[in-house]
Amino acid sequence: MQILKSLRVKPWLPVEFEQQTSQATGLLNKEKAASTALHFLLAVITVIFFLFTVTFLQRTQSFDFQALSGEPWLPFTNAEILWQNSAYLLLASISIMLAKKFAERQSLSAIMISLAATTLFTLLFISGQIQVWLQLNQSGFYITTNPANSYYFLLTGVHALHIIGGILVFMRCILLFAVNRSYQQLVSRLKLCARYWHYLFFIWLFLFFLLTSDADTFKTIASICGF
Amino acid sequence: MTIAIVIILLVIATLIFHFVSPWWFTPLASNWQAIDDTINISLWVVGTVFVAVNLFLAFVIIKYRHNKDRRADYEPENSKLEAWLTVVTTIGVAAMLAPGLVVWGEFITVPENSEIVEAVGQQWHWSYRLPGKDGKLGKTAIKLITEDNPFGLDVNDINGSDDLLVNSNELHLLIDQPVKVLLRSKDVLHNFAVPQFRVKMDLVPGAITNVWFTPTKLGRYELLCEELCGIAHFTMRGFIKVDSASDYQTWLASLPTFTQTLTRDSANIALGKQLYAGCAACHGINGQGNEAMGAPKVAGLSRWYLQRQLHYFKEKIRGQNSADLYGQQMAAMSVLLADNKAITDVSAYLSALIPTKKSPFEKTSSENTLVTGGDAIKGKSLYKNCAYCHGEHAQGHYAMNAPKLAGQHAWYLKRQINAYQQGIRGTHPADLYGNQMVLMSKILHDQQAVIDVVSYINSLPNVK
Amino acid sequence: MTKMENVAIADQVDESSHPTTFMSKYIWSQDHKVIAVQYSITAIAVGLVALVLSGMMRLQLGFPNEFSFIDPSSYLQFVTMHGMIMVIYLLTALLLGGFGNYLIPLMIGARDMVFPFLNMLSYWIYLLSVLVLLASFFVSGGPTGAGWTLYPPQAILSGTPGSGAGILLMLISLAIFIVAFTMGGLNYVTTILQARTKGMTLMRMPLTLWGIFVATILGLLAFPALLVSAIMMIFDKVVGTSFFMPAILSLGQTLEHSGGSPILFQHLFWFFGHPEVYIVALPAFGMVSDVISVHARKNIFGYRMMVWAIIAIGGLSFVVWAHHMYVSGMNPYFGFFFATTTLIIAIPTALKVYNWLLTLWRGNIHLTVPMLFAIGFIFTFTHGGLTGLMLGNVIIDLPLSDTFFVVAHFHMVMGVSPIMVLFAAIYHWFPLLTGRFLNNKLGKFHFWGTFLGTYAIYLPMHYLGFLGVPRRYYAMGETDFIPESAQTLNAGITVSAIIVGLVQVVFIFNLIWSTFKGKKSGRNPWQATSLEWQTAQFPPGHGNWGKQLPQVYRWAYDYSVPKVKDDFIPQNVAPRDVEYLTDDKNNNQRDK
Repeated sequence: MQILKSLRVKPWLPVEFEQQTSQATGLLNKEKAASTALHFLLAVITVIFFLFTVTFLQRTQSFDFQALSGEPWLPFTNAEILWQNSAYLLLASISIMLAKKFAERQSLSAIMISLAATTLFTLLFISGQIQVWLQLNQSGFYITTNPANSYYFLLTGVHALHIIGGILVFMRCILLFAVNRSYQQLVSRLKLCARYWHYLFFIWLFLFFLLTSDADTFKTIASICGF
Repeated sequence: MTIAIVIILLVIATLIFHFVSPWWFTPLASNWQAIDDTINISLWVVGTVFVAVNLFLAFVIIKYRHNKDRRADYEPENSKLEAWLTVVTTIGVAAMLAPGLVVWGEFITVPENSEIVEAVGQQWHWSYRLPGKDGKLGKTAIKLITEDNPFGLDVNDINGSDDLLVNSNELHLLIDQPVKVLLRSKDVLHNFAVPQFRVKMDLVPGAITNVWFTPTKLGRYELLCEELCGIAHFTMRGFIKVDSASDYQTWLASLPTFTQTLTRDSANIALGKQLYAGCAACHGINGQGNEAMGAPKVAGLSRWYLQRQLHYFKEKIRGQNSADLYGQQMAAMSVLLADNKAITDVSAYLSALIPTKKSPFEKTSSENTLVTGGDAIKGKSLYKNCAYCHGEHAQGHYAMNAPKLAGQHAWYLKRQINAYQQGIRGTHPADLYGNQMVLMSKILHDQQAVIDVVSYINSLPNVK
Repeated sequence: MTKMENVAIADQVDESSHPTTFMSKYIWSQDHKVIAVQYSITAIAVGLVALVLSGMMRLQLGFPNEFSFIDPSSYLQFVTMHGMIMVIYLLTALLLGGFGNYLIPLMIGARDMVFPFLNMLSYWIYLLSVLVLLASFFVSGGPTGAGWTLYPPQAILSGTPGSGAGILLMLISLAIFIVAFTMGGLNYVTTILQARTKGMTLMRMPLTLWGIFVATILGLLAFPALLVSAIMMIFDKVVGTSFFMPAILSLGQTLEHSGGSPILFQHLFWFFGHPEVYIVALPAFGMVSDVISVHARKNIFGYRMMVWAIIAIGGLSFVVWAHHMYVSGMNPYFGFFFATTTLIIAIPTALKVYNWLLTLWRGNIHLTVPMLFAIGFIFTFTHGGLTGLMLGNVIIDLPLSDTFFVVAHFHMVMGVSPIMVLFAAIYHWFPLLTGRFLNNKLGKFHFWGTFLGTYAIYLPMHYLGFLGVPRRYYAMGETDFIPESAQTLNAGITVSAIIVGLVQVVFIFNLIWSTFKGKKSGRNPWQATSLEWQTAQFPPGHGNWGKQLPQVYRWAYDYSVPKVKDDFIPQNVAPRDVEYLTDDKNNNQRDK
């Protein structure tokens, strides 16, 4: 508990001077700074999805809630297409990690391929998600028909927006690399991008589980959470 | 230095203001003496702290104001003092919190002998429902709400058939009888608050909330909505009348059950036509109105509105003010309608009359000057406040208790707006919704504004 | 830059890259000081709009039926826009976007924020959110009149003014604001954590930074709740989902919604809304601590306790939200929990007040304009905090909630008090920005007008609340329980409010006039120890520090240290450079 200890320091005492300065080196590590910022950003994103989830779980217990799986006619009883989308996102996550590895080794062509793969798989994921939306609409599961549908569109939409935001930042990394050809910067940037992709992948898995659960699962979760 | 003296003076002024102020809680009329006591305890605690902290502040400023020959102390902290202050503060806070929580415990424990009443809120009025003989309220649903079933009761629920319905702003309660008020909203959030009773609670659409209290003083208390509910929030008032046992029984006996409200309303239009013959001298054979007689157009008005106004005239609620000449005439004439049945029949007849078209309807000279003197464009922007209830086309709306205005004579509209503004109409305690117009009509600040809005209404097509 | 790792902060800015053109220097600037000024000017400008709006609604309340341009719709619209602008677009933006931006890099000894481009983006997106908000005044139906809490269903139904384009623009503007805030907030937090100069440990930071730091974290974690509720409400309004909408009528018409929960929105809103109070209050607490310490020439009393209190208040602020909802119809048993947590939060808050008083105790108090405002703050904050103890106590809230007592309470505690600190801070740090003092005479006039005027507004307003006058009422009309004299009281409040409003014109004049014609202040005019006053160039230029970053040797409160010659030792003075008194008399002589 370093932080608690440092909060108990009496800063006016010269005795503790040496110990205090050792903590503040006066050196700025840009990568570490960006990493701190990313962690806070992920915390913000976590709060967003956490709050959505809490409202969702509460809503699953209302009388008009019809889960999206559990019965043969419900769209996600067979969630094959969602598994496929998950695979795309997983592949994107892996390829971005590979890109980082290749960047460390400075092998340009491998970097190009893996970056292209990341872009491709991420876009495939987005288009796959849009496919699901269209299918839901075609089979009469409109956004307003049922709260489960509303939450499906809402949560996947918000998730997709985060992915798109990620792509924009990712594109900027590539652009900057194209301009200054600094492998070192590319590595540290890809490291952060990879972390973001992994994190959104896990959020997606969580949403996948949450949105395609059947009524009984919701009942169990809700009773555990005390709704 | 000045600042220290000012702070001392402010503390003294605050205390004087507090003790001399005539502005204080209205006298309690319920069992919640405990709430008042908790407030008094808290006020003494916070008042003492307020005085102590600020007098100390002033003292410190005076004592340690700048002096170039003196240096400030160097004292980074004093753990003992800080610990001591923490403990004292904690004790003070606990002393305030504990009685508060005890009383809250009482507030959320409804006594078993409480009677149940339902208060229903909607934009922007109140109505009430009592469980009737079986002591149970029937089921309701929003989608069942219609003009004939404003409470949205389920006809298939046996518990609902004997529910007593109070389709008015005024609820009666029995003195010294604990009552649990179930709160239901048809549209937005409202709040059930009677300052004399101290307690209040929100009405939440989609849920039933409740609040309990025991009225302990006879009287008539104003019920306020205290949760912002839209433009006419401030006019959403009701009344709670606390009755003695006998008065309360009389009131109960006057209430219709749900079943009765569904069946009692069979009007006879033919009879209504015969009865109207006595009215036609002033209101015209087609109900078109006559300015010379001061008689408004009555054809094509909503039945519920005509019924309510005829009741008002007959029961001396409207047309009693000495400044209301035409109203007094109408109050006198209303004796021609012998009973409720007659009122129902004639109202049904008139509302079924096809309203005269705009063009053949002759404008009187004063009407022309009225309308030409008005600026309908200005009137339109003023009318947007009226449109919430009376409708975009001034077509009226039963759910808002707002009569149709389109097609009515301009001189009549002007006279009525003025009557509301001057308290000639709408101020009688039994005029349920008149007070809303009294409050609302004041947004027309001068005669020109009245004329503007009237001329805008006059320009609207008379649609059904 | 070839090497990524461990670059000395001193090398962060390439000296040749100073912006040269007007556009890059003042408009598309990435310098935190310019961005701070941009934030401040925008926030103050939009705050003036909100001030005028409050004047309008006071006119209606004080003199009903006198002003024909205020009808019930516009009254509610004024109330709503006044509240939202003041809380979010003025206070949050000015305290964090303005003062946070200006002071963080200077106080920790950095050249700039860690992500200057993101910082610039943050401002422009904030400006966009303000413009979207103001645009709602010009759409059909006008801005929303749903009250600043925007409670559904009312906010999006036609019985409320501005329920069409108005509410949508409001929600969109909030979402944009949150994006801007998140960009800025990530910057502030990261800069404080990663870019402190050598020797600047967390516990050596001035309390201003602690306040801003914790408030920013609160903002980062609390604003998402507002974002979530805004998004869901936009869906309810535009798409027709039923997140917050149960089966419902609107002006007598049945709508297609079913099953949603309006109380859910209130929980989300206040999960944001209560921390928001501390997002505003904590930076104010920090800044006022520093102002008091500097102008009393004494170290802040109980620095560690002050830091812990800031952290404790920040943490507790996430578990008190439902004290805004005692009469909302939520589960009544929540009342016990939230009343208890609410009163617990009073303890660290009270300790802060004690410590301010104990800082003044045995100080050497210079009654400068910043100090006057700080003392005024202690008075108003004590008052507002104590009435908060009453409202937090669940049973007392029953008769008082939704009355003017609540309005008076939160204006004392989160309106007047932070504003007093903002003024103290502006008078205190203005020389750092411009090299000139604000005019002292005008400043004193401004202080007395604001301090006495606001107390004359809000003290009587509590008593309207005791009477039971509900808030958000366009007009009271005639009632049995409110005496005629309450109208006189209301009129008096309005007169005070207008005076306070006019006094602010003097302040704006002072700001503009002193920027160009004010008395030159010279370096470090208040003889403060903290780093922002120790820059090589005064006022600090681009990059803040000359060739070399300062090194910090001590905490920020070495005032009147015994046996030391000067009554303050700046943070960057090494122990070996401190001049000690050899003989008291001689040294005193030499000083003069």
